[in-house]
Amino acid sequence: MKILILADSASNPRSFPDSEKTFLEETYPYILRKEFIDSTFWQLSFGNITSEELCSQAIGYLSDWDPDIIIVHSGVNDCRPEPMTKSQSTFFKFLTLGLIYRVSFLRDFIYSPYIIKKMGKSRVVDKSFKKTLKRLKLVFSDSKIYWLEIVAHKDYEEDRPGFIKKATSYNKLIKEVYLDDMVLTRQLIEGVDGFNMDNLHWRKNAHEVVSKAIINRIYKDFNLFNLGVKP
Amino acid sequence: MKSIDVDELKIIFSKVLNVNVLDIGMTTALHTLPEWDSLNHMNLVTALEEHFSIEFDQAEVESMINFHIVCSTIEACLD
Repeated sequence: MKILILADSASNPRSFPDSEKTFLEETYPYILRKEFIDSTFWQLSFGNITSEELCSQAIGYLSDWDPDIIIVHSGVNDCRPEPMTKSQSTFFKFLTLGLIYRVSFLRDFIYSPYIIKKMGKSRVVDKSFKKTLKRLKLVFSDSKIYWLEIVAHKDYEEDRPGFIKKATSYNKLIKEVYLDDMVLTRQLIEGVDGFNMDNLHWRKNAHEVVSKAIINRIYKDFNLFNLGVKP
Repeated sequence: MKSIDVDELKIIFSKVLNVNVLDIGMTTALHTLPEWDSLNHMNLVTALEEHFSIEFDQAEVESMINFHIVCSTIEACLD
């Protein structure tokens, strides 16, 4: 099988903080590679990337590759409340010659929960997010696409007031487009206390439970149990 | 999801790229049609945006490298 993984930073290894290091071998993409050893994998995973940017990379470069399975782990960067939209941010960055992000007290002020609560703009509006969901499905119409639930620890709400509401609404869109191919991960990760101390990234036990969930889905959907393949 | 009239789209392609409509198919891509160069790509984007009253994002414009992807992108925009 050909398996494509499209993901944000939560799928990557993490070297900090020391107490919560996640090594590459502990990440769920690596565990999947080990499980489906005869499959060909390709992975695009970038920090702070939106779904539109991520999916466009896959569409532009990999549509001819025609993967059997696509696993998408993206959406948190699209929906989380920000002090301003992407275009406003670019405008202010230009206007202030970048000082807005380089001077720490300015940056801290702009990204304070108070300002985020007041402004509460998602980088990507829900309509655009839904467009990306549909576009990927249409372009890769022969692939089985699993889209992972948008998750963060409940305390992330303190840093980003409004996150829970936004994530719920964007998750509904994922469910609307991908139906049962949306992979629910919240309870699995919370069940093993799998969120990092930043309340957003994953500890190794989160990678472990999510990889198990994905592996089981693949075995079930591709009828691999009946082919005598053991999970 | 709304589906678009592929023949209608082929006509737009043929007009903008100045090629025979029969030369346009689902497998037509940037690298298979010399007339589909970077300048005509932008002309195509403008024509499609005007025709379907939609707006593409920059990442979408950059990734619309074949007819099938253009079709899918427009369908996703129309819903």
